Amino acid sequence: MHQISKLAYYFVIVLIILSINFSLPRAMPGDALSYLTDPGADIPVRMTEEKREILLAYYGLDKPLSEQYITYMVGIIRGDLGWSIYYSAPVLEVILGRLKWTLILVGTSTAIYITLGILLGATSAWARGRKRDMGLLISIISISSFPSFFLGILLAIIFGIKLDIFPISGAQTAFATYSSPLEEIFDILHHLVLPAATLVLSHIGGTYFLMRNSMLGVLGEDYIMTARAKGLSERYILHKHALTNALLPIVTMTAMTVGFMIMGTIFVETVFAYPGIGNLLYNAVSYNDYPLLQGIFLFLTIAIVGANFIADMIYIRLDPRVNHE
Amino acid sequence: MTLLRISDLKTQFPTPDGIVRAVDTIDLSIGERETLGLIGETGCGKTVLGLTLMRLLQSSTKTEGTIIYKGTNLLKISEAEMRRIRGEEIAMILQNPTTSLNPVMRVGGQIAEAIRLHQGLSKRDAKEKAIEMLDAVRIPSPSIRVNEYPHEFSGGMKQRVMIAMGLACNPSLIIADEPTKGLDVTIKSQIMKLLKEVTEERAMLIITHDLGVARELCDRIALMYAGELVEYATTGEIFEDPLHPYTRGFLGSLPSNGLVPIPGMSPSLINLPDGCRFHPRCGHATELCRRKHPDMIEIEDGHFVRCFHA
Ligand SMILES: Nc1ncnc2c1ncn2[C@@H]1O[C@H](COP(=O)(O)OP(=O)(O)OP(=O)(O)O)[C@@H](O)[C@H]1O
Ligand code: SF4
Ligand SMILES: [Mg+2]
Repeated sequence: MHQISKLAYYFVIVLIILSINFSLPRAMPGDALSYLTDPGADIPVRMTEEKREILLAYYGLDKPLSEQYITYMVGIIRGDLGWSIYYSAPVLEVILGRLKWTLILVGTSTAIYITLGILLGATSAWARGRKRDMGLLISIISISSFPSFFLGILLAIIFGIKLDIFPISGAQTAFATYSSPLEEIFDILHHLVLPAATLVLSHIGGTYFLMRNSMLGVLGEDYIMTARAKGLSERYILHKHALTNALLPIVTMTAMTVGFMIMGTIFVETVFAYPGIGNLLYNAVSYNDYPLLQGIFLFLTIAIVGANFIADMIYIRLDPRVNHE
Repeated sequence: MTLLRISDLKTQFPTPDGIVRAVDTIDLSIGERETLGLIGETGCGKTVLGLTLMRLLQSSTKTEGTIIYKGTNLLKISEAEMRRIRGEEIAMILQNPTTSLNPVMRVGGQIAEAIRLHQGLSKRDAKEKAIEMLDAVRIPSPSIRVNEYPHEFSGGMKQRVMIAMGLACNPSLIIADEPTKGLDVTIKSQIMKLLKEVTEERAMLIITHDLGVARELCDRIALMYAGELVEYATTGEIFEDPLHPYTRGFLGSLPSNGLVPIPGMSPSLINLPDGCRFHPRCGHATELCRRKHPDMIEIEDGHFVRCFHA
């Protein structure tokens, strides 16, 4: 029951986002083509009023808003996100072509930084105040103080140029022919190392600090004392009692930081010329490709909403209390 | 037969402000199937005494003296040996059941884990045993409730779960810290009835503020003030013939005796007053009380008191 209402909630949110995406450009003064007929505008092409009317009609922009809205929604359901000016191809096609790479990059680095952050944070809390804790604390504070693009460039210089062990550009070797699928996978992974490492290093701090704090809090709770009073071993208590409780804030935070992850991805994909969505977004901005930009925003917002939905589902599984509140 | 004998027990916490002398030179003994009540104002060190017996305080804590349980000094054995004692030989029911149960773990699992650990039962058998335990503490439909989480239980029911957890491995001694705190009158009397049954088959140390609870359940009562014991006698003696001014004050603060509180506040355990620790609040204090610290003396057979003028 609870999960169904959650689903409805997220459905409404997506609807709202789509509506904003629809109305923002239409809320601007004039219409999509008015700058082409404005006698004062500083542009090379000029258009007659009649031509403009014809074009507006062609794009359906002369119809009442409600009708445009329906056309827009139907278009989205059918996968029609418009036409990219720069790539001269359907926006959806352009985005889908890049999506795979971003999913690979963001997926692996998120999985790694969350797992590592949780493990290191828990280890640190467990060894609170001792050498191991201090060592981890100092290393992670140092790493986290670099901005992600700087970390990326640093890794590229050290491991890509000086040591020359990892490629620093692209997601695959250009024009390569592979003798086996395994070889292709290896090539992809090889290209993935530096951008993924950059993302992991620039995001691990958040998870680590939160986990360390959360774990320290949990270890001071009365139920941990109860568990000790039963004669359970420290290791068992850590796994069975402390971990689940300490993970609750991590789940919430991770979903909330997906936006930052996307921002980090834009930098990293640009530094390493990685052909993902971040890189695409950079290009779309550079070439004023508004339809493409709009399409990418749509994807990003849906990704953020999706991440929150997944986090909600995980939270419900971890914490029995939320189901009943 | 003495089950537990504590001698010269001291527990101190080093803190930046100074040393907290939470338990100071305490001597106590508990016989098999005896129920001892430990009474005192808030902050006098009752919980710390309980946790010291279980060796559950953080490693920076300084503990001295001896805790002889069934002939073994618990302060001398290894941590692994101590873990075998916890839950299996001595169980502790912590104060405040709401925070003492793990919110994300099923109640049955929390009872069963101690059974599995100490008695090596299979998961299924331990769950059966957990259902039995819930039934023993009168939780209705135990085979359903065993799968529920703590937030689905009321305050009184959580306390029953805590008691079931304490009883799970049938320990020889149960330390119950404030088992009736925060419960309304009806629930409290039900829990007391349950505790009464529990006390019949084993030794218990009941820590409480509540003299009514102590009178109902305990064979003997020890009064604690600022880290040390000030009076120690049978329940009858404590109520009929209280000798220490603190005990009398405590009895006077009972609702049935007019609710007269003891004037003043208990001292900081970092900065204890010289002489008798109670003297700043005592109506009978003399020059001697301000200068010298009184020893615990056995005034009558089995009736100990720490006061020059008792
Ligand atoms: N880990 C600790 N470090 C420093 N001081 C502590 C620690 N634990 C307890 N104390 C101090 O020891 C004193 C005794 O605390 P304790 O919890 O035993 O009181 P209590 O008699 O159980 O009180 P209450 O009736 O409120 O439960 C208090 O002054 C407390 O502040
Ligand atoms: S020794 Fe003195 S101050 Fe202390 S309780 Fe007895 S009479 Fe009061
Ligand atoms: Mg206490």
